[in-house]
Amino acid sequence: MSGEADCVPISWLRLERYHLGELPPAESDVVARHLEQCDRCRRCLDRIQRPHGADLPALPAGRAPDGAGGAATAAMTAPGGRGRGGFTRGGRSVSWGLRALVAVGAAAALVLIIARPSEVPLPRRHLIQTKGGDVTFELVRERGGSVAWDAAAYSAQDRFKVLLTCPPPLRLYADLAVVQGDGAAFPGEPVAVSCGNRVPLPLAFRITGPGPAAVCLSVDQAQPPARDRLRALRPADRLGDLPTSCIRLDAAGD
Amino acid sequence: MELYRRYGPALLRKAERMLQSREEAQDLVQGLFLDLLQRARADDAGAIDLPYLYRAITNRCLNHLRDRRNQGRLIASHELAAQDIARTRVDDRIVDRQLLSSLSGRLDDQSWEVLVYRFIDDLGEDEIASLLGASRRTVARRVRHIRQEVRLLLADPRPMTGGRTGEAT
Repeated sequence: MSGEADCVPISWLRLERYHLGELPPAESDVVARHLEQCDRCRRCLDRIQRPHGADLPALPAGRAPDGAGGAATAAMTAPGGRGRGGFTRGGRSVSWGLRALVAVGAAAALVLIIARPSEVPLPRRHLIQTKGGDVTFELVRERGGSVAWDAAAYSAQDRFKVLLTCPPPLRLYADLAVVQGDGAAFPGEPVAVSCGNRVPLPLAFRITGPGPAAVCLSVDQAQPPARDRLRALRPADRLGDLPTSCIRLDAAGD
Repeated sequence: MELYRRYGPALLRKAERMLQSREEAQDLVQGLFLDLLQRARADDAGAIDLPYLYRAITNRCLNHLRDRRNQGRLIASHELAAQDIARTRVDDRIVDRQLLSSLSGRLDDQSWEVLVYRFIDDLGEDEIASLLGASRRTVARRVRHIRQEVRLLLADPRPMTGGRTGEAT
């Protein structure tokens, strides 16, 4: 029962829809008959039918977006969708803040941001004011399968992602640094990002070093932000004169 | 989010086929649904089905590959990952991530997208036409063009130009 030489493959899309029971009955019958004859396509269906749930990161759906109607969000989050998820995934063991990412930025040249002293409770949305409009970024922490939008501490097992909000159609360059006692480390290269509402930066990172840390976002509309001043930062520094916004985190247990 | 539970695994498999990296696929699928969650309106929900999301994740993956930094992140085992599931080929050549990236500077956006549907997702020309809202004739023409470019590339593998400026992911 091979018939492979004659196989006109059933597309992955059609197999997926067959698996989900979304094909019209007649089309579903055609697929079923083909699968009886074709080992290769059946192997593809087997692959689809393997349990895959563990590989699908949970979705952080903690808050409704600003300006979004509750009904809209509710419709999209259906049963229980407003609960907290988490981005669980197989551990990436990369030394410290690994792939992170970024993007944002603003108007003319650089942006100015404000870092608050750590003893002052920080707003969870960190504002960078630009000529093109305000840019905010949020740090989302996944820990053991649950998501925190207002994390003030980190541990080596935590995974972080950054969400940016800035006004379209701006496109900005952004760079991310994790600042600890021995200076700044850059989980990734500066990236360009098209503005929008809570644009998730595509990469995630961990913080493994000891002591307090600050996750700092630097943006520039014209070019990737220079890193020299970021490199000189220390967690205790006041950053008000830098084109940077930082979120301070304490090490868990500190 | 019901859509995520229902369609997320299919999109994850699809993105992984394109990127040959589970981690990158996870990031992009999650990003897609986060955007949906943030932006979709209630009356959009009924219009979102698997073909719609298939296109959305395809374009995210292509944007991801278009970024030269990501192009450089080719994994050594990409051929192995693609080998056992590839059913459609161009002149016996599997369209893997490396080949897909190499063609980014040679094909226009829609041909690049068609390439994915035809040679990675195994869609027939009718299916592609339906998905894109194009005529089958247009799709067939693009497929011919793709085959021609692949042959040219394999005959003369000029360095990747990165000619598409910078759409970041």
